[in-house]
Amino acid sequence: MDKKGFIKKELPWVLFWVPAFAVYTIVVIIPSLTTIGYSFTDYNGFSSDISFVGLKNYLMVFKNKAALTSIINSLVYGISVPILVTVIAIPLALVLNSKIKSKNILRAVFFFPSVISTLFLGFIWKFILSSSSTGLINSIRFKAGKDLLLLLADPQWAMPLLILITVWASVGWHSCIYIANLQTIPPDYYEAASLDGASKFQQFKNITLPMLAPSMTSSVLLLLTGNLKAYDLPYALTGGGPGTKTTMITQTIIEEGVTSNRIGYASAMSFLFLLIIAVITVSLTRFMNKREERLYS
Amino acid sequence: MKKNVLGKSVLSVSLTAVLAGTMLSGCGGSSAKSEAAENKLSIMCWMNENDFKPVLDGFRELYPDIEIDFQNVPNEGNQYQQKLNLLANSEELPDVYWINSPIDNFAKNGYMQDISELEVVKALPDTYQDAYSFDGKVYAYAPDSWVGGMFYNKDLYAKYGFEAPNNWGEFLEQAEAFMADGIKPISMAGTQLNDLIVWLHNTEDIAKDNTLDEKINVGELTYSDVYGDVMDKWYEECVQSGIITQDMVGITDEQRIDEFASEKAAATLTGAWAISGIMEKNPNMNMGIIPYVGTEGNAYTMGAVNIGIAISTNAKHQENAEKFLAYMGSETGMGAYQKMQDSFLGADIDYEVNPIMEPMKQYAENGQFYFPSYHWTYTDSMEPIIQKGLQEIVMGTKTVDELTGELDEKIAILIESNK
Amino acid sequence: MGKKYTKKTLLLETIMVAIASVFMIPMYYLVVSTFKNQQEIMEHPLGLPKAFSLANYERALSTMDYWRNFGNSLLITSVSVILVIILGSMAAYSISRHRSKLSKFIGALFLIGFMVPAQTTMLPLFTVMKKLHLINTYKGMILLHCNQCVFAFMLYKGFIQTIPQELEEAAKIDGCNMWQLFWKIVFPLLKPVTITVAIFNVMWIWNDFMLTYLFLNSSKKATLIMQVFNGMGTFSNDWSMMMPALVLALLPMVIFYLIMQKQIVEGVVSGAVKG
Repeated sequence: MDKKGFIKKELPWVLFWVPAFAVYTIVVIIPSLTTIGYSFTDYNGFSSDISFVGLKNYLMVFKNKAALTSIINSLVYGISVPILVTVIAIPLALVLNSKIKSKNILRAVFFFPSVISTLFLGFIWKFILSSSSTGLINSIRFKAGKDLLLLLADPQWAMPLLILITVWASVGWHSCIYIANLQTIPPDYYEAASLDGASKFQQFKNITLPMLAPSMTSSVLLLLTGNLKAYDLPYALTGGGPGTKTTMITQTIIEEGVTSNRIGYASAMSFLFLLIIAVITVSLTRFMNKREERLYS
Repeated sequence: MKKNVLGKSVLSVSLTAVLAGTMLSGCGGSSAKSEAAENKLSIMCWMNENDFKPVLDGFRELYPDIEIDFQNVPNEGNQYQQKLNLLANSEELPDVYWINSPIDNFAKNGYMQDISELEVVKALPDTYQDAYSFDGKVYAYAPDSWVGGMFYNKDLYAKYGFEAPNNWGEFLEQAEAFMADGIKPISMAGTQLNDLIVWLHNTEDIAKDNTLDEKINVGELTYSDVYGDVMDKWYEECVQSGIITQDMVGITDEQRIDEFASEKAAATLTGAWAISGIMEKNPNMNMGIIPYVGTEGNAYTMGAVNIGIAISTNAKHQENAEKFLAYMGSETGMGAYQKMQDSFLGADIDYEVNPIMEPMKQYAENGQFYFPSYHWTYTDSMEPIIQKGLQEIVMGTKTVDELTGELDEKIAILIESNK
Repeated sequence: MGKKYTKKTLLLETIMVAIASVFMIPMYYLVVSTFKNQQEIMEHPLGLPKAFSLANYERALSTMDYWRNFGNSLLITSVSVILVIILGSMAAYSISRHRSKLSKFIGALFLIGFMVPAQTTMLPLFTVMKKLHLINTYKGMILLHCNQCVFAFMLYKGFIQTIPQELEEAAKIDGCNMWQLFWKIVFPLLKPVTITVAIFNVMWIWNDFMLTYLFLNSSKKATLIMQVFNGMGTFSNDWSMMMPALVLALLPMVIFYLIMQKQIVEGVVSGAVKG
């Protein structure tokens, strides 16, 4: 093929993705590459003299206990939310797809928190779960003459509560994903299974669960990437406290990079975390896709 | 036919290009030049536009032609400073901006104009000029100061037969009595657990030597040297005694005000800005204010010269910016500003403070007020560590020594990297 | 899955309604508080208001320029969503129909975008936006939100792969060029995904906090969410005023949700299964 013909053939195709790619380059690619570049320097945002410091910033991340704690917090949060949401959303989807009469209203109710800004969800729950006697739960206990609970101020409970609230906020829309998928399962599968004498549980295990594989892949991946990089909700709810119990890596990156202007160091942290997210996401995608092929074909 | 296809694919290509072009046209420098010619002024501060309206209205009346672009970032969890840093890094600072002390980084790197020679600045007393000086030059105009202390519920105190405490020992004794009845001696939020440390630091150390914090900035002293003893005392007398409790870690600023207003706490540490909120929650509240009192009965309360107003080095509307500063120094401007903040003024004009704040006027005028973090060069980096660290100490997962050690380590890195 | 409405179903229904009621308590608490004064909020947090009064709303509205902020949100959201749909669908069409090495590479590159947290790149992004003179402009906000086209791209790509190519082949023979072919033939077929993409992006872009906080400064240009957040400083000592402000900011999305409810659930379906 001559060059001109090649261009003529390729160009329209290329021009179709160029606008999206241009936006993506500006918003993601250039800043990401710059972040990687900064991570090997001592850039502080102010002075223009930047020097190369090699891997020093990376070593500092590994030595810094606060940075490691926040990475662990992000992982705990980012992994337990998808697990819990999946475990709750599938049964919920089954119920909301069953013969109950109020299913449309119920779907609306459970979906509702997804419509609201996560930042404000955090503020609302902060009113409810405050350790102060003016918080909703504690004001009820206070009037009943019971001891006040620490709730969000309790180092053991802050993270579980944060996870539960996130599950509350996301379970509705993820069960919608599963409902969608459930509606594509042909009813005769179940009829055949009942004729063979399979119990309800066996039907669930052998038909429903495998058939839900495609939606499970999308749902889990969305949850995982979304929650590993969460910032708004934890920040609004606890501000990272008590102590560092719910400080996410994203908050630490902002505190170090923007507030303290240690841009080189914060960039190293960013890049390390990006690698962690990438490894988890890519390996999970592979696993889920294989699982999907195995179960769905 | 073949030609036609080619023609159409050219059309499709050019249409796509146009679409891509419109997308990217936003990228061309469009407004930067024309903006300078317009009669504008961009202002950024952490006060809400609604609160700030009286001040702006006065300026608009004086200069009706100047169009004000008001930018507001609330100061929740350091967000104001974050935004300022971002704007400074990319040289996008507005013409006039509010900036809290310390200003060393901004002044050193040339983001603020030297305004030492402006008339309004020269008219300020030295303390006010010094608070926003770097290398002998003034970089921000700060006409007022806030002075706070311990707000206490007079009726509740009277019920127990107490007078306001005259020294630290009395404060502790009274606290015992309140706690015995399940009343918090002080209501406190998780973000201000350091206030009682500030209390002790002010009355026990700063009253004698007010350069201690400056010495930490340059590495002459460490946090362990300056704060070690005070924090041990704080831990023993405030945390172990139960004045500071674990629930405070999760309490927000508005909630601790609620607790005070609803008489679940006998006192709280704050400033004039909290008065209206308290009165609204409990219109019958009969409260008073006292300064921080030391073990020897000396008073040295919390407070600082208020946030300063700076002109950006790259100000696009230099003249208007100077007009604005002149207005802020005028009787109308400053009057409206003082009323909005209920603060104490450094300039020589008549003003009124809320009658509740009257007892603090003498401390404001004598300069017996101090707030340590305003004197730390690296306050934005240190404060999150202290805040989280104190929460952990209260929860029992960290010791005072560990926290001071962490602070020393951090400041050593910061001093080193800013050489 | 039983066919008939049995006693068991009734029991299930009762349990679900009970769970749903608990699920909605936070929302109930928020809304019911907006009709009470401070003291009543503290004394009877969950009770119905003694008197139904809109006074709190009137006060909250008087401190904010609601319609202006609403207009800003509407402008930014609608333009961004339209562009997200155009950019995402076009890119997905090209990359799933034309399998060259380059297009595979670009497709893979888009995937990475899912993983990059905005917080980690905000400093360099700020510098890029400054060089383009886009800080504190609507154009800049729209450009940033347009990056959601990566998500749209993923959904469209999965869907396009399931559409048979015969129609397109026929159109090509009739002399349609790629542009016409895409807009006249392919795009209408993508309607279910387009609805999904539109719905999710309306919710995300309307509710965005991070990017708006970083890149829009002027109060005049602030979105509704931002304006309420800015107001928190003033409202924070006064819950009876903050809660109506929250409700007012949430209201447009709630109305949007109530109107679009059916499409939302159906939209999720098509996006999820094919995607």
